[in-house]
Amino acid sequence: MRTPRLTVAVLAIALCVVGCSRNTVHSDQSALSPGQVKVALVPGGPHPYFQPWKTALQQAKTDFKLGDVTFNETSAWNQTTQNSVLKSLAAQGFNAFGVFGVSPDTINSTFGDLRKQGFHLASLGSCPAGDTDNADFCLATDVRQAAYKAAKSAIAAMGGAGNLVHLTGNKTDSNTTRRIQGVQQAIDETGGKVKLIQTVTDIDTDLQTAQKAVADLIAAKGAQINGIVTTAYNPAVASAAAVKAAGLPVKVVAIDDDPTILGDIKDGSVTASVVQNPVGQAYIGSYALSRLAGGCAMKTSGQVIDSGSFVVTRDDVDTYDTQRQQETTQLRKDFDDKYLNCPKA
Amino acid sequence: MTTPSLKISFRGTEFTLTVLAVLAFVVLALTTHGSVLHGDTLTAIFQFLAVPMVIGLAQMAVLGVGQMNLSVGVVTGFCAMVTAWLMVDVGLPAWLALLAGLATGAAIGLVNGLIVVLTRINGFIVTLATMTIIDGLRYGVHGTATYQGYSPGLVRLGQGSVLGVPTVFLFAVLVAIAVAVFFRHVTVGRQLLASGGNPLAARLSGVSNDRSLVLAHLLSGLLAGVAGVIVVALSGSVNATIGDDLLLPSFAAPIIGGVALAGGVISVVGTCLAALIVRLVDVAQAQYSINPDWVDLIVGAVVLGAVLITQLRGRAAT
Amino acid sequence: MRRRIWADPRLGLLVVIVVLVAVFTALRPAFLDVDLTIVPIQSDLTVFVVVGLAQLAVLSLGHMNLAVGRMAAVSAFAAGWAYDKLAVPLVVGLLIGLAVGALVGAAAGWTIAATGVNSFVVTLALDFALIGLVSLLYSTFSDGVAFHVAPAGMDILRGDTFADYCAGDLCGPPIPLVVPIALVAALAVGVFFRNSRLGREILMTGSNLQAARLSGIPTSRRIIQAHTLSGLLAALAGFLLAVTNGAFSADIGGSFLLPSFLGPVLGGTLLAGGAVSVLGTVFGAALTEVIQTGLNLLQFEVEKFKIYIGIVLLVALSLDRLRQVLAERRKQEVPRVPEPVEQKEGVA
Repeated sequence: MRTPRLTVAVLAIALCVVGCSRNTVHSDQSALSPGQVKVALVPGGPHPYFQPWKTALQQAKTDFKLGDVTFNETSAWNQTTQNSVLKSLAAQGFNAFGVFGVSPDTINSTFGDLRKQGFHLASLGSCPAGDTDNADFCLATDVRQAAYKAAKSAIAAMGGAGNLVHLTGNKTDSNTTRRIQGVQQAIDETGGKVKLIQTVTDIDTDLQTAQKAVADLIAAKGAQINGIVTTAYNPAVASAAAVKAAGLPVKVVAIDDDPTILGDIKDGSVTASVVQNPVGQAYIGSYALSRLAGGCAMKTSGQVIDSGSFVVTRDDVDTYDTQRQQETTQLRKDFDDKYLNCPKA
Repeated sequence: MTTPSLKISFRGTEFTLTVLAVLAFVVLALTTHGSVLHGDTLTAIFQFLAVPMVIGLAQMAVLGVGQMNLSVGVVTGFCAMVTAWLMVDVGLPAWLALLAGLATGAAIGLVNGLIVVLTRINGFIVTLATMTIIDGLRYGVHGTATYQGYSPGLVRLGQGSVLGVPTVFLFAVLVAIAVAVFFRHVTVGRQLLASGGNPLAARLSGVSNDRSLVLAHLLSGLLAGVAGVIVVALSGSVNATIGDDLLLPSFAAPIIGGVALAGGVISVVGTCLAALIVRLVDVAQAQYSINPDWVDLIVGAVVLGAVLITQLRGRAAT
Repeated sequence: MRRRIWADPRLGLLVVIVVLVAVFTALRPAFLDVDLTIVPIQSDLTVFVVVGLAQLAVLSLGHMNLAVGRMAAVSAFAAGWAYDKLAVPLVVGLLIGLAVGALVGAAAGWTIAATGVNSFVVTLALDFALIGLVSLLYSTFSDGVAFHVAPAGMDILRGDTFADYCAGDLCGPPIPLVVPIALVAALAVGVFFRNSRLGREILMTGSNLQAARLSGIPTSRRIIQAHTLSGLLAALAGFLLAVTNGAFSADIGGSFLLPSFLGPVLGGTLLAGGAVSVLGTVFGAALTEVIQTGLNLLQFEVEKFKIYIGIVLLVALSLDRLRQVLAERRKQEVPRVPEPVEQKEGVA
């Protein structure tokens, strides 16, 4: 049973070695009307940061008359799973994708594959690692820049001197490396007045782990710590609660604007938060994808576009969103005027 | 199987773990100039020891019958979320919500056990499947958002101390004593271990192996529920990520503590001591400000070293 | 003979897979889309079959390898480093990776054999040590947490299927080029445990250490050899994942642990040791891949997706179990025996 099949296989391979030629496929991208554009937004996994994408995407569907939209967060922070989610969505007829890649180091290959097959791609919220971007464009906050801004505001809140601690996520993720670099840059700029006494990584997967790490940290060094900068969600929630409970004069700076963090800013347990623009990413990202599918092209393929970030404190916690909406409107104008090259109708 | 010699060697394990824990404590105290002996630090150490202890016992309960429970972590998270949901969104009083959280854990454990017995599918696979299901449910309670500000009285109790000992730790110790009594002095508990050690012999002497399996899973689920309500009381904020880091520690504590994967042998004291040693590793990490790149390398080396010493000593004892 | 075939758990898995494929195809015809479903399923399966085999290699002893993912990571680092700094050809890098994996596996095996410490504990500690080592190595030798290298042939291996190669009008089937690698690995592991003396002695060591020792098998050496094989296969899985992902990065292997058990255990390999099923591992991995892809196509929200994935797995296996019970009832001459005994020392 097995032998003849094996022989056939060996023969086929031998035959191929002798007389095979390699085919290369070219995909054609014909212009689609907005009603034919089906946009899928695929974040890396369930996370508070992506929740605004849902409503922004629905808004984009009505405003730009898109054929269909979907929001799929089943990637579970696993690149293999995310690749399979993307391909399944493509098989279901979605033709434009806004993706927050699980692994910035490998997402580029996925982008390359999908673009070869004629799909339109936006890298949303985080750009691929390295100098190239195989997606049509990347609309994101510079991760390093956001961490830099967060560290800067922590340093400012500390009065420009003292000891800082940085709490963040998975250390094998190159976004974490970027965040560590951003914080380090802010520290270096103080010329030694601020010392980074510890960076704690890998405490974002489980809120309890973050709480434990923060409790240990405060127990060990509470008296020395003047500021805590957190560049991940769970450490931010944990630090705010721990500092409040211990009654320490430590300044906590967080990232993003989940309702819990906004509440912490209002009650003063979080000094400031560096807020990004997820709504703009999803809304303008969908807009640009629909334009690309409609026959436009990026002037520079793989262009990196900053979606804006704002330091929010107690003073502007109620008003920052207006500023952010203005930024979003401006982004759309920029796409029309600067980034897109559209055929004259 | 020579039971007496096994017993001696496991007593040896417990003894060595005690020595190791004390030694680690002394080294920590000396090298940090007494910092770990401060009230706040001790409080932090024992507060966050409660969950690892109880979750280790939850895994130990099923290891006792030679099964595994991969769902312990997510059940802990789910019970915590259910308890918080009942307090915040339904408005139940804290004590009722806590009881409901415990009941949820026990119910899931019961279902796990029944599926294992009725389908005869390997418990590893059953709990892997229920783990994904409960993971979905856990997320379904409140999405990615965090519950905060529920029952200040409960949180005050959870973060408080009795005579300088954190209440959650005291609670965990009481739970551990109850588990020990169950396995040592209660008939069904002893039958459970008999089923785990030698199913055939147990059946011949009239023990229902099926009942033991269901009971072990039920107990495991209940203990995961206990861990869940401890989290709720201790932390003051919970979200759907609770429990994601608990799976490996749940195995590490009993196995380092001398519990056999094959079933039939458990050690409550060993499990709790192992959880303490793992906890001290966390503490050391914060005390010494280890570079994050080095942390895991050192943790790995220390754990391996500790186990080697335990083993060599255990061998010398027998 | 016929009855034995129907009682075979692997056949049950195959039936479950076929039924699920039929159901998913009926619900979503896109399940049979060649480029977007069939080819990606095979690529993913390639990796997970090899990961499953890596775990199977030590399950044969009744041991576990919790460091399977990190062994993959450390070998992928070695391969990536060789491509980046030494500019070696694709095959040489692969061999370097395999050698490193085998070495790490051998070290784990040696520790277990020499000290008698539970494999779970040793590999758990090793896992911690290796993850630390991997991120240290990347931060020292690369400018981030990955090597973005493309040795000649890697892109072809990654993206091409045999359908891209034609002799005249006759093209190959839509099977990715990486698939034969996993097939060869599976075949080799199967032959190793079934036909080689070494493999059989490893299984005997797993089924009864004392008896194996008494019958003159050098059990310590067999333990080391099984773990070496596990490390080697983990390295191969890491290489395959790096190739399908397009980069040698520190997070390779991060999601290997549960799938590594799932494939073999679904396929009927016992955690207790002494029996392995290579074909079952392939089917077990295929079953999970089919469920995952099918549910992806049905586009559930994340909570429902997770709930259904568990339910489908349970229902599918319960039905298979029902078939088994019926098959057992038919052969009445044999009283009901607990399954483990029936399968001891069985190899496929």
